[in-house]
Amino acid sequence: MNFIDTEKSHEIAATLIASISLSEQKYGGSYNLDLEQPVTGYMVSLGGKKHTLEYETLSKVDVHAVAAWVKSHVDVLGTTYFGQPLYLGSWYDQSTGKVFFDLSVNESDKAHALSEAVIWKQLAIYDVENKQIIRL
Amino acid sequence: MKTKNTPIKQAFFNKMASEFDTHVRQSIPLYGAFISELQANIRKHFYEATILDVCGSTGLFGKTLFDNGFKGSYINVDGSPKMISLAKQISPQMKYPRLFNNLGGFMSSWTDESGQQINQIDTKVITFDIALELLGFQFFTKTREPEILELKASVEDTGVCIFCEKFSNKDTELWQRNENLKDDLWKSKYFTQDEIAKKKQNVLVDMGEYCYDIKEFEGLLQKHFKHVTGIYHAGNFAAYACSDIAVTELFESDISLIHNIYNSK
Repeated sequence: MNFIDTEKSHEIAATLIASISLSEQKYGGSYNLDLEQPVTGYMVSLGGKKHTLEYETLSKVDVHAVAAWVKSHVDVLGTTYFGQPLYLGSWYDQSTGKVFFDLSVNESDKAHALSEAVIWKQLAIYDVENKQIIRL
Repeated sequence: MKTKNTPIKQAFFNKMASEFDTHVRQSIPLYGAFISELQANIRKHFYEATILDVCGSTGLFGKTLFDNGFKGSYINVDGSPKMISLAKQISPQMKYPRLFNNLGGFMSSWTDESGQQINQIDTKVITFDIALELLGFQFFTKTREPEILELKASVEDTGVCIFCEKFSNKDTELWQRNENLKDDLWKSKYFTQDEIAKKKQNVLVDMGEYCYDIKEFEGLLQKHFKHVTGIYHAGNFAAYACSDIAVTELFESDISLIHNIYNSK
């Protein structure tokens, strides 16, 4: 069973929040518990309200609540999604202004990533290497 | 080597994959009618739902849903390579983009009888609207509480778990009468007496030790869910819809089988 202390969960939460910067046109990021980011492949957000923390606006994001959300997902992050590694993700939806914290998976194969996105009714996937959103 | 949650008779499931769905419907009284009603209720009340089917065999449940207009997503996890291979044939990804057949074990990894490694799938990573356990647990575990909790952890707070199993019964006379009724009034429509006897040796003897007492099972469901509704009951087979939201009206059924004699000959 994985464990992280409160300080670590706050560090991860702060990193996730800091990966959104509208002035720098940064709209989110994906990290594992070691604060490592994927460098290749495609990120796909996974379905499920139970694993998703949602805010109406960026200004309402609460670092303590995000840290608690991180802590509650430590065990899940120790598993995989059908063999693929899992990440904690933050995402700012430019069309609505909403902010989401959710679980995402790094898929090496683009076609597979797109299939996953269809299954989980996502609007887009993220090309890590080229830093591009690919809409479905 | 048999370890916890390793399915029994793996070779049997692989061998009969192509005829499995028909076989189940011919072996279990009105199971086909129950599945049709369950699918109709899902299409009616959960038409865009995400569904997890643990031990979903050939994924026919999902295929039939999509063939009838379902707009959600269906993830089948089954531990039989042959079942999953067949599932991918009958529901090709191009035609069924939101149907995902996946080889894997529920709460267990093992090396199967052919030497193939079957990896555990952690179903809690995503949370589904509906999780199905249709004739699954009885083939790989003597326990039920950990499995029920795992399935519950795989659905949303407003999610629904459907359990359908063959049960044992402390009233062994009643259990045997139910078995005789099933053989005489249902299976005899599809199988000869010799075939019925052979099937008992092939599957049912081994399965017997994994069947769970029906009253104890109902007690576990009531312990872990706020709402539990019986949605199918045919002798030693029963199914329940369970949730922390009210589900009774969502799974209405016309199948009144408790004392039914299977549309007798």
